[in-house]
Amino acid sequence: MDELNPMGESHSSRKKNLAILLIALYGFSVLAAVVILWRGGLRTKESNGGASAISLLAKRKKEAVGWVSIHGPIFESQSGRIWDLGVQQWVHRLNALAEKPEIKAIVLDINSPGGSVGSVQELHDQIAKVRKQHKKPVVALFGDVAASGGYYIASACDKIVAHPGTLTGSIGVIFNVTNVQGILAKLGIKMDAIKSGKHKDIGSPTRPMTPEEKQILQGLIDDAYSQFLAAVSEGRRMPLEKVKPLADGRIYTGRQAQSMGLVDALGGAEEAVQLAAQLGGIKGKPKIVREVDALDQFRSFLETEFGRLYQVDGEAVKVALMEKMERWGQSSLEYRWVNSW
Amino acid sequence: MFSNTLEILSDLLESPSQTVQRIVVTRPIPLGFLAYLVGAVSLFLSRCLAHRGFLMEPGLPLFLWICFWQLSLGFFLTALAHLFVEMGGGSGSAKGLFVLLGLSELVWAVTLPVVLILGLFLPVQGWEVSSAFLIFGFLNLFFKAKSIQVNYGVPSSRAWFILALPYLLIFILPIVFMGLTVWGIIS
Repeated sequence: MDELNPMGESHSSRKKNLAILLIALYGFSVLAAVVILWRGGLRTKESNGGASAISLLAKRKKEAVGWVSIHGPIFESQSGRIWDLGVQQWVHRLNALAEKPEIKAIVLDINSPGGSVGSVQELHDQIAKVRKQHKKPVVALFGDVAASGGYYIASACDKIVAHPGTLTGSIGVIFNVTNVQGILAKLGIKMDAIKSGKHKDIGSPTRPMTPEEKQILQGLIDDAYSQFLAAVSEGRRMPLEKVKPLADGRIYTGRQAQSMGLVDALGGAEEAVQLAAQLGGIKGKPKIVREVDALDQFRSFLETEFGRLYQVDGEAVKVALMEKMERWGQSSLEYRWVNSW
Repeated sequence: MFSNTLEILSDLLESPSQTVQRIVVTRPIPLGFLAYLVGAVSLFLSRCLAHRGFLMEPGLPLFLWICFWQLSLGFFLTALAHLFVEMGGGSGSAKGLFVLLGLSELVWAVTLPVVLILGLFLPVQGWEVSSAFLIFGFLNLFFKAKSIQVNYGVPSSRAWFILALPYLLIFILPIVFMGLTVWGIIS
């Protein structure tokens, strides 16, 4: 029989009470943890600067400037999956940042010669949505090149910051058609198309273009071009008559572009972040939040590290060149400066 | 069942050695599962509070992944440890080991209030919280080795060796795989 203590409890019931107390304390810890995390949000290491929980609970979330990098040609991803790289992924990143309440403004780091019309317009429209629906200013920062489609998407931003030597402009549209009839003839290959309408194989690489086809394609180009002009005119708040003379496809330096009103300020990353913070109403030195997920970092690591292996392999270089030629061989409407890949 | 669980937990505090021997004999599997779950919840919450890195963004999918990972690791460790002991001529109960390894995960339940208390006054990314994780991580391994020792009646050094083998497999196999992949790409 268990000994009774002065309160009349047996030894075994004391043990059980102790166990219940420990379980209750653990339950309380779990509840406290959940409340703290719920109130503070499940934030990443960068977003709370290593403050203690008391200061976290007392303070509001620190306001920040979001950062999205648009580097390289702007095209649809091959598969549309999250591990692929293309306009869908950039749109996802932009939206993810815009939806965070602590992000008060976004910097768009653009280093791109442009890309396909559809993809460029999708990104442009998304930027406009972020500004309109989320009421968050977007500042474009130009890197080495922000031409054609790169400039198109920037025209949707509140402000544009460029380096004096940035290459920009190239406002225009291009439709590349590669004629491989000669080489096919040398190989003894002849192509015949059986079609439902006379223009079904317009832009075919196996024969020269007819004047009528050129006229049709020119119509496409002109329409896409007018869309580009309208976007720049609306985004930069410049009358169409003022934009047109600047939009003959030529490139400008950042300094030249500023003198013409195509760029707002000269500077670098720091200036762009400060401007974004100012427009977003952030006081003091702003924090920067990059929307980069672990999968994207891992892919970037693989491309950087293993991509170098291909530079020393002649066979792989040939494969890479063939992939580029395949892209050149594909006809598509593009806002792209063709001096770059 | 709740009453039994309470009794085992309270006995564990009062006379750990005898309770462990009892667990080896009775093998309360539900208690083992519960302990893994408590360990997973505590580990998830304490690492979120301390802003320690995860491969995924913290949220429900990550929590479910951690629960799955803890349980899978428990099965994996139990299976491998049992295999290594039997290959070495020892004998014991795999079920008993599974429960004991699960109970070793309860160390993480203590980490949670520690991180909470430290985090009230100190930055959660500081060395103090990191040290707490290291200490409890070591305690977790210590109790795992002790579980193997008690369950199979092997010496402490052998128990640590048996415990190290599955972890070595977990870390070495991916390195070997990556090496083969790189070699395949280069060649």
